[in-house]
Amino acid sequence: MNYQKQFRLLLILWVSMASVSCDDFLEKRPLSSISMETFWTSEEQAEMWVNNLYSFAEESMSGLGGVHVTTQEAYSDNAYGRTSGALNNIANGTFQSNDVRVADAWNYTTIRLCHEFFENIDRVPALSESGRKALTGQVKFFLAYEYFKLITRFRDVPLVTKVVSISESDLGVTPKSDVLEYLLLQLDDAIEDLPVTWPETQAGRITRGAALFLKARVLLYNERWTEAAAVARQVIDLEKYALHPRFNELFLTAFNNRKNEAILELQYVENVRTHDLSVRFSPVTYNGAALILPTPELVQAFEMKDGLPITESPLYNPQRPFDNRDSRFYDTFLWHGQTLNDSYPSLDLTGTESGFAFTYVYFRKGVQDFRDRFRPMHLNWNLFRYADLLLMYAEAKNEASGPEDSVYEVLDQIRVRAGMPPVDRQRYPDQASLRKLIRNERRVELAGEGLRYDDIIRWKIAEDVLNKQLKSMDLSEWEDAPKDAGGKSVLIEKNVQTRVFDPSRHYVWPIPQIAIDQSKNLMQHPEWK
Amino acid sequence: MKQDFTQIILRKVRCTLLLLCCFIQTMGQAQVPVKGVVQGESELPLPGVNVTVKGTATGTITDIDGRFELTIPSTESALVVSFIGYVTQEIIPGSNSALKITLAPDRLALDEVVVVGYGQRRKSDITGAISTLKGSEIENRAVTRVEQALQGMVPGLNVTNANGQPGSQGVDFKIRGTSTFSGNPVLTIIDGVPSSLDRINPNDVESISVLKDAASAAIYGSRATGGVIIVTTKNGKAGIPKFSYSGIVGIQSPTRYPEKVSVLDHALLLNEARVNDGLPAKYSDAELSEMRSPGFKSYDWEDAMMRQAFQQNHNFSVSGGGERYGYYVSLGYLSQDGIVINSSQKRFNIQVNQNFNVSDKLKFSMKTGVSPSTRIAPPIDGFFNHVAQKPRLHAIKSEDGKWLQHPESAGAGRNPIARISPEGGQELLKGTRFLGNFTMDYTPLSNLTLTGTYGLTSNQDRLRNYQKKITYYKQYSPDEVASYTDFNILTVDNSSNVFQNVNLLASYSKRFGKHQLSVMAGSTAEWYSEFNDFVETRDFLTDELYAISAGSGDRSLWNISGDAADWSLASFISRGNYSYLDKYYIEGIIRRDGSSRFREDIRWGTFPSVSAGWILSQEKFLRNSKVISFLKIRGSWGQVGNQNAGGYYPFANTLVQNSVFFNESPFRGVRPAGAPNPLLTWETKESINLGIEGNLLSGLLEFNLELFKEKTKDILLQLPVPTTFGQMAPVQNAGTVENRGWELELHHRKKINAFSYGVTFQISDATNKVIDMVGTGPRISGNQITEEGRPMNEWYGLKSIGYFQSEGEVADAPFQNAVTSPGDLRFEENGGNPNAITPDDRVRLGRSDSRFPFGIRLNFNYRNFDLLLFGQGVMKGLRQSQGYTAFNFDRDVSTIRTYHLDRWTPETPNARFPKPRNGQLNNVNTQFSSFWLEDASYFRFKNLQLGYTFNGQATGKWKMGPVRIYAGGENLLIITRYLGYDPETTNSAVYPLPKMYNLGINASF
Repeated sequence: MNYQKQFRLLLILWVSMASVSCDDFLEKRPLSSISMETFWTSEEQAEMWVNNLYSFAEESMSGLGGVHVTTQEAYSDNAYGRTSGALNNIANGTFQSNDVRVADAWNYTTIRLCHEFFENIDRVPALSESGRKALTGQVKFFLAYEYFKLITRFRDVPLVTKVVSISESDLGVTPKSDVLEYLLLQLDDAIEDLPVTWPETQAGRITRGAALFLKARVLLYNERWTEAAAVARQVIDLEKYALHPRFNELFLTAFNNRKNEAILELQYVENVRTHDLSVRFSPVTYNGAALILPTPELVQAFEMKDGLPITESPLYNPQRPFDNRDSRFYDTFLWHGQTLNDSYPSLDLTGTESGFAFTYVYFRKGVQDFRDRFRPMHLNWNLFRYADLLLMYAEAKNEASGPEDSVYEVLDQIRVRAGMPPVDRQRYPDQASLRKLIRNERRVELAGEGLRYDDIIRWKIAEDVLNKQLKSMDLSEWEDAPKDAGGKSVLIEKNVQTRVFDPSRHYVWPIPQIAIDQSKNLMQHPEWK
Repeated sequence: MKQDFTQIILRKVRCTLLLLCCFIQTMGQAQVPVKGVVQGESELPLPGVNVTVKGTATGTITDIDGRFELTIPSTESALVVSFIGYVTQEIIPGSNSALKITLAPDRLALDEVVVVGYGQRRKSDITGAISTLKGSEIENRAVTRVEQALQGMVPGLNVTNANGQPGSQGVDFKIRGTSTFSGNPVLTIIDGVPSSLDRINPNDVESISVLKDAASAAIYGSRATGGVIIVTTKNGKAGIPKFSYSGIVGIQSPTRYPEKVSVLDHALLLNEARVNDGLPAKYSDAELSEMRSPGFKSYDWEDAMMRQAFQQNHNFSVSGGGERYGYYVSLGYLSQDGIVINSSQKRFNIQVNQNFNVSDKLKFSMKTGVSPSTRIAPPIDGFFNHVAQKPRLHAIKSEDGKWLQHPESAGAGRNPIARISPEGGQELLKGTRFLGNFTMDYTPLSNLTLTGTYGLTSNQDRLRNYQKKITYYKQYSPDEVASYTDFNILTVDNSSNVFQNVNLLASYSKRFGKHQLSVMAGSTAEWYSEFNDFVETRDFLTDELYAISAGSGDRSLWNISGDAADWSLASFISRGNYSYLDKYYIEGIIRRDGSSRFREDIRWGTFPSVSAGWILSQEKFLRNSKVISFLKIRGSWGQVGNQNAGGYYPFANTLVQNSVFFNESPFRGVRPAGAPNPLLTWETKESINLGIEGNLLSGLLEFNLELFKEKTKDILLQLPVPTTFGQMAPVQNAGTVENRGWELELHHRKKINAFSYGVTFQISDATNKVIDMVGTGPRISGNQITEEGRPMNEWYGLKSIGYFQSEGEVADAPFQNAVTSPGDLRFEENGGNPNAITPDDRVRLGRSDSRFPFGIRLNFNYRNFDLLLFGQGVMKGLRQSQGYTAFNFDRDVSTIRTYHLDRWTPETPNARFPKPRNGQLNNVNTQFSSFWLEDASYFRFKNLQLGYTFNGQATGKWKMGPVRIYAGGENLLIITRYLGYDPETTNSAVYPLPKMYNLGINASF
C-alpha cells in the first residue's frame, strides 16, 4: 500500500477540518431574548418600556407596591402584624439598619429605568408628539413617586438625575428639600403631559388626576398647606371624580375600573394577576393567615352613628360594643359571630381561630368578596381615591387658614356617603378641634389602606400612639361573647405586644446597611449612628 | 538500579502471587511432564511466575528458585508464561523437557499508566500535580455517585455531600480550595467528553486522574481553573471472556437528626419564652398537668417522615478479546429507596466499550454508555423545615387514616407529612443520559499517530410534578374538615442538552538513545446547546391523569415558559515532552482557546505551562541507598483560564419581557435582564507547584508532598456596586486573589507472615488572600466580608460576649435593643457610637472555609479475611447555625431541640443558649453574631468492609475465580461538636445523609 499517499490525503482532510472558520463557529447570540441595541425602534416598543414600570412585586414596596401597601398598617397603631418576620419590627421599635423592610424601601431600580427611558426615547423614529407626551408624562410620574417614597421614609437620600455609570453612582445624600424640589418639577411636567383620561381599554394608566393627586400628597406630607390645598382643589375642579355612592362597593371586585372615586387603581385580573390580601386579612378558619389584625384603638376610633365618639355617645353600650356604629365600621371589621359573606359560617373565636385572634377583630375591608377559598383575589386596589383627596384638601385647608365652609363641605360629603350626620359645626368650631376631627375621619375612612403610619409620623404623634403596650380588645362585658363554663366571656383583655417608639431616632428610617456597606460616600443618619 | 527496582517489585508481588498459587489447582488428566526455570534480566530466577497450559485452567507457579514442574496434554501444547511487570511469553516445549525461559521486562506495565488530558503518560514521566485512583480503589462502596467515592481519597480534592436525596444528591467538590470570587467548577471528563459524573456507574471506572496544578490542567485551557477530573472507563483485555458479578444490598437509615423536646418541655419553654417577652403564658397549669399524665399523646414527625430504606446494586460485566478486538460490556442496576418517604431512584447503566485493530496502522475504538434513570421525590420543597418546626403536640394522622391539622397550624406547614406522602402527590424525573466517544487512530509512520475523536453527551429529562388536593381534618374533632389545599396542580418540564466535540490530534514519539521525545498537537471544537419547555396547569378532575390537557380548560390558568441557550469553544492544543536518561523530564503545553462567550476581538486566550521532573533515586548517589528506594522532585508553572461569567452571553444587553394589565387585558412590558459587560474576557489563574514523592525502605513508606501557590487575575467578579446604581452589578474582570497550600499523602504497607496491612493518610490545606479588588472597599455580603489583604468571605458580625445577668448590666452597657434584658446575648462595643450597639460594631469572626480536610484508610488482610476502615473529616471550620436548629420558637407553633433545654435562667447563668424568646422578639438573640458560629470540624467513619474470600475452583472448562463476600457500612459514625443537622451538608434542614449497613459479593468466572 502507498502509505505516503494515504498519509497525505489524511493530512489534507485533517487540516481542512481544523481550519473551519472559527469566528463563525464562535458567533453566538442570545437564543431567547431580544437585546437593548435593537430595541427602541417604534413607539410601541417605547410603550413597552413604560408598561414595565407598572409591574410590581407582591412582596415588596417597589414600584406602585400592589396590595402590599396594606402591610404598612402593621407599622402603625392601626394594626398588629402576627407573623414573626420583620412585619412587627417597625412598630415594636426593634428595627435596625439591617431590617429587611428598611432595605426593601430603599430602591433605585425604577429610578434607573425612568432615566433610561429619557436617554433612549429620542432614538425612536417618527415618534408622535402626543405619544411622546403621554409616555414621558407617565415616566415622570413614576420617577417622582419613587423619590417621594424615599424622602418620606429616609428624609435625605442620594439624588440620581440620569443614567449613572458605576463610578458616577456612588453618591452621598442630598438634602430632602432639594430632592423634593426635583420631584415636584417632574410632577409638574407630568401634570402637563398626561391626559385627563385614557381610553377605557387602558384603564389603570396614570392620568393627570393621578399626578395632581400625588403632588397634593407630596405637598401635604411636607406641610406646604396652601399649595397642597390648591392642588387638591385642581383635582376637584377637574370634575372627573366623585365619591362612589356606596362605601362598601369600593372594595368589591365587580366594581373594578367602574368607580368615579378611583384616581389610580392597581390592576388585577382573575387567575392571571392576583393578590393575597385575603391571606393577609382573613381568619385562619376562612383559609386566610390572619397576618394583619386591627387594634382596639382603631376599632374605638369609629364614631357612633349619631356622630359622637364612643366615649360621649349615649348610644354606646359596652355590653353591645358593635351596635350603632358608623356604617363604615361594618364594612371595615369582622368579629366573633359575624361572617365575611354568605360563603362562610359565622366566625368562631373559640376553636382553631383562638390561637390567631390576637386582638379579637379582623379586617373585612378589601376581602368581603373573598368567597372561593381556593382562588386568590383580583380586586383592584384603589391606590389613590377621591375620599383621600377630599380629606387631604380638608386637612391642608384647615392647617393653612383654619375652618372654612369648603372644609366642612368636603368632610360632610364623606360622612354623608357613610350615612353619618354632617360635621357638627358647633362641636368643631376652630382649627384645633377640626384638626382632631379630620385626623380621626382620615383614620376611619382609610382604615386598613396602609396610610396611617405616614400620618402618625408626619403629625409627630407616633411617640404617643406607638409607645405603649398593645392589648387585645376587652370584650369581657360583651353579651354575645363566647363564654367559659362559668358563664364568663373568654375574650378578656390581654397583652399582645410591647411597642417602643423612640422619638430621638424613629421619625426617620436608617439608611439600609447594605447601601452604606457598598458605598464610600453614603453616611448613616446621625440619629442612627 | 534496574535490579533494585525489580527487587522492590518482586517483594511487593511475591506474597500476592503465593496466595494466588494456593487458589489454583490443577485439574484434568495430563500426560506429559515438563519442567523448567524462569529467569528475568541478568539470569536472575523469577519466583511466582504463572505458567499455564494455553486455553486451559491447568497451570502452576514457579518456586523461589524460579523452577516449575507441570504435566501437559502433549508436547505440542503451548505454555503461557506470565508475570506482572514482564512481557507475557508463549512457548511450545516440544521435546525440550528442561525449559529455560527468559522474560523481558515490560516497561509500560512496570510503570502505571496515567491518563492525562488528550493522552496517557507513564507515572514516572509525570511532572505536574496529578493524583490517580484505580477503579478497584473505589469498588465495593455502596455509593451511588463516583464523587462520593472520591471523598477523602485524594489530597486537595475536597468533596462535600450537600444532601442525601436519592437521584439528586448534591455533591460539591473543589480542588485546592478557593482561588477566585467567581464560580470555577471542577471540569469533569468522562472518556474524553466533558460531562457531569452523576450518572456514571462507579463499577465501570478503570481509573480517575485528578489534575490539580495549572501545568497539568493547562491542556484544558479556559475551563481548567477549578482543576480537572478525568474518568476513564474499562477496556477489554485480551484473553478468554471474563465474567464478573458484584452486588451489594443494604439497609439505610438517617445519620443524624437533632431530637425535639417532649410535649411538656415544649409547653414549659414556650410559656417561659412568652413570659420573657411580657406576654401571658400559653398553657395553663391544668393543661400542663394533663401533659404530665402518662397517657398524653405525643407525635413523632421525623419518624413519620423517615424510614429504613433498602438499596441494592448489581453489576454484571463481560470483558475479553483477541489480538485485534477487545470488548468490555457491562450492565449496572441501582435501586435506592430514600430514607424519606416517597423518594427513590432507579438507574440502569449500560456500557459498551470496544476496540478494533483493523491493521497495525489503523485502530478504532468506541466507548458508549447509556443510563436511563428514574427519580421519585415528594412533590414539594421546603418540607424539612416544616417538619423541623412541628411540635410533638401536633397529630399527623387519625386512626382511620385522615390527615389531621392542629388548630394552631395553618398554611403550608399544617401537615407536611400529608403533602410529601404519595397521597400528596409525587415528582417524577425520567432521564436518559447518553455518552459516547468514537476514536480513530492511524499510524502512518511508526512514531506518528493521527487521532480523530468525536464525542457526544446528551441528557434528555422529563420532570413531572403533581400535587394532589388534600383534605385536612381537625385534630381534636377528626370528623370535621379543617381545611383543604387549594387545588391539584401539574407541572411538566422537558429539558434537553447536547454537548459535542471533535478532536483532531497528531502525536509523534521517538527514542533517540538516551533521549525520549514526544510531541502532540491538534485542534478541537466543542459546542453545546440546551433548551427547556415548561408547562403548568391545575384543576384536574381526577388524580390519575398526568397530561396537561386533562387539567382545566381555562387557558388563564396555564403557565408556560421556555428557554434556550448555547455556547461553543474552538481550541488549538500542543504538548511536548522530553526526557533524558529516564531521570530528567520536561514538559511544555500551549493551548489557545476561543470562546463564544466573549466579544469577537477579545475572545481568544492562550494558556501555556512548563513543568519538569527529576528522579533523584536514579542518580548514583542514591542508587544504592537502603533507605530511599524512589525519590522524585517536580516543579511546574502554568496558566489556566475561567470563562464562567454571567451566563452564556455576558456581553449582550438583553431585555426580558413581562406582562402588565390595563382593564383586564395584557400589555407587553420589557426590562433589562441585567447589566451586560461587552469588555468581559478570561479570568486567568497562574500557579506554581512543587512536588516531592518517594518510597522509603522498599515500600514501607510512600509519600507525596505538594506545595502550591496560585494567583488568579482578572477575576470575573460582580463588584459590590452602590445601591444607587439601580441595577444588578455587571460581571467585570477585576481583582486578584492569591491561594497557597499544601497536600500530603502517606502510605505504609507491611506484611507479617499471613497478616498484612496498609495505612493511607492524606491531608491538605489552602489559604487564600485577596490581593486586589480594584480599589473597592470591603465587600460585605450577608454575614461575610471580603477585603484586600485578607482571606475571602470571613465571617463578619457582632461579637457576643456572654449574657446579660442583671438589669444593672443592661443599663450600664451600650444600648442594644428596646427589649434587651437579663438572659439576652450581650454584644461587644467596637467603635462608632459608644453608647449603642450598631452595625459599626461588627468585627471579623473567623474564616468561613473548611480547613485541613483529611482522610485515613486502613486495610488488613489475614489469610482469607480482609478488613477495610475508611474515615474522612475536616479539622477546622466555622459554620453558622440557623433555622430550626438555632434557638427558635418561631411563632407559637414551632418547637425546639433537646439541647436547647440548656438555656439561660437566673439559676443557670452560664447555660449554652440564651433565654428563650418567642416569635417576634426571637431576633433579639437569633440575629447573626459570633454566638451562632459553631465549630463544624468533624471526623466521619465513612466506610467499613469486612470480607472473606473463598478460593477459586476450576471445574472443567470454566474456572471459578475467587469469590469474596463482605459486610460493611457507610457513614456509620460521626464525631463532631456541631449541634445542627450535619456539619457536612448545607446548614439548613435538608435531606439527611443515609447511614447504611450492607452485604456484598464479588465473583468472577
